Amino acid sequence: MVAAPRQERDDGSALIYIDRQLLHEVTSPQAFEGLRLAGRKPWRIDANLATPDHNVPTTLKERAEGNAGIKDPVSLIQVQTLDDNCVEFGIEEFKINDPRQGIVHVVGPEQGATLPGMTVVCGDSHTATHGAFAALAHGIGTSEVEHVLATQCLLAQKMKNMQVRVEGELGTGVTAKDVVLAIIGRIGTAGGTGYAIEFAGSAIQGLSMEGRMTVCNMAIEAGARVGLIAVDDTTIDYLRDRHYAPRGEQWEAAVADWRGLVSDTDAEFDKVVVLDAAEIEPQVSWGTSPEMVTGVSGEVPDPCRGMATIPAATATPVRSSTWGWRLIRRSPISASTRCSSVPAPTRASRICARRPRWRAARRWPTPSSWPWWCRAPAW
Amino acid sequence: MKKFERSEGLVAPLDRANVDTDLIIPKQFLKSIKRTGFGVNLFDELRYLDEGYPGQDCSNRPINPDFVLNQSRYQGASVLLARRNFGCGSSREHAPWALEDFGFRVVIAPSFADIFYNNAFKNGLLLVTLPEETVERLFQEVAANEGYALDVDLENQRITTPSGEVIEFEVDAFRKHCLLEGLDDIGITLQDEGAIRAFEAKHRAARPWLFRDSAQA
Repeated sequence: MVAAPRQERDDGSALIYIDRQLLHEVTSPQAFEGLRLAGRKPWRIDANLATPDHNVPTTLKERAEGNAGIKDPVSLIQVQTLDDNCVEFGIEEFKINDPRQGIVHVVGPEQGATLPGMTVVCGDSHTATHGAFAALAHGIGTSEVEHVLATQCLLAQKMKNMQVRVEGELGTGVTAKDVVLAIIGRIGTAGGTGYAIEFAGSAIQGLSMEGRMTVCNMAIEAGARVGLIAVDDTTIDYLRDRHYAPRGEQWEAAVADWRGLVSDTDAEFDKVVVLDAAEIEPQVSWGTSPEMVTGVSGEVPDPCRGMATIPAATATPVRSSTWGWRLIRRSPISASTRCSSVPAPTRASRICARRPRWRAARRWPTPSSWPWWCRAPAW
Repeated sequence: MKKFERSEGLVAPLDRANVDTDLIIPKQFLKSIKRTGFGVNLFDELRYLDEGYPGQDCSNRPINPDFVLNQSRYQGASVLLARRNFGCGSSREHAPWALEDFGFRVVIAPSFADIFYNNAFKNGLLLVTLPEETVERLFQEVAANEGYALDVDLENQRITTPSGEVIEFEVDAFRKHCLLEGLDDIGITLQDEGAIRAFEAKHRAARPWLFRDSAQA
């Protein structure tokens, strides 16, 4: 999986061979320009896959117009530049109105372009998402994007290993996002700094691939550049018949190879963290940092009273315009809650955290012991 | 990266200490999707009397006639003579990009900021650190002699003044090697091209499904 074309350098770094690079419009323009200025060609065109995703409009109407639907001139230039660079260098791109276009970390798995055992890089810190497929995946900067384009290698230092095991069965309506938030709540946003985290345990194995991607995606919020999960039947079933996944005899050989991508039972880790799945509650994200979470039965700081805390489950009334209160009140109550009505720093984690629970709640009855705002909305 | 070649270069003096990266290339120009074209905005706040913005045509902007690079005797300069702590501020690589794009190949100063020092060498710019008194003398000589040029010989780590005086300087052996050979980070990695190709061939044979052009249809 990992190449070391020559021995470690004096600073402990070595070259690793990169199997897949995903490109998007924000961190690639100067990398391509660097190639052009130096008269260099990409080392291996088929290792790259591009899609614009940071600057694309979200409404169907705008999307139907293609690049013309992008109103912001700086965004438009970035997307147009990616299109032009992909044509010039012969790199496959899922353009803005291609049905395969999507979030860059999702496109790879969906198309079977992310495979177990791969080294995967992208100019985006959430690249660890691909770790759900037992791929060594992490984000890189623009100069490294250029370096990978030109050499198919990256200069890297070995990371420490951490295993986070979540054992047992998750409670009703507790989703992958709750699991990873609970992990971050436990180890902190710098807890994984310098580590590659392996997420393991029966609760992790019980997650769908989408759930596993959700967990690995947030490795960086725990400070770790890499988060990964061992291969099992769920991984292999997901990949079967995906567009870029191997077929025929190669599929059989690949599956046999992938089955080996699990940690030894006696593997030693630099750090091990164990969580009891049964103790993980639906998480309440109450602040501006991913570590500012607690279970629904926990307590959150009272934004109106300094250091005082209030039970998370009862923090429902709106008493002031303080964002903390609005966040708590509006958490999961309605699918029509708009991002624009929530202060910016809280949007992403809140919306992401809640949405899977709505789906879960549609399938299962919500315990009546939960507060009203954690129950399913009326669909 | 271009190889650094020995040449005689016209010297422009920038008599100011602690020139930071924002002075070298102001922040508004960082939105560019390019790494070239920053030369017209090098020292933008000092060179022009109005405020610059990205993508602007600079040919009609009001020039600051007092700024050294706007004076006719320094047109075509490729050696910048500066004061201590040149390049302090941020880690932006746009600063060496702008200096190079303008035409500078060498900056001489009593000291340089750390990150800038690294970024400059990575982008083909030679930074020469000389004692404060030597730099002071060079400033005086530049001011007194129009057309003052220095012969910068990196190979032998020597600078020769128009009067024939030879000034020796120190430079890290690896950085010197990279500049003389035109090796940037990619160039250094490509020195291992054979090893990378050998690994790739083995990797392809063992796991052909990782290579889309070797994958079974």
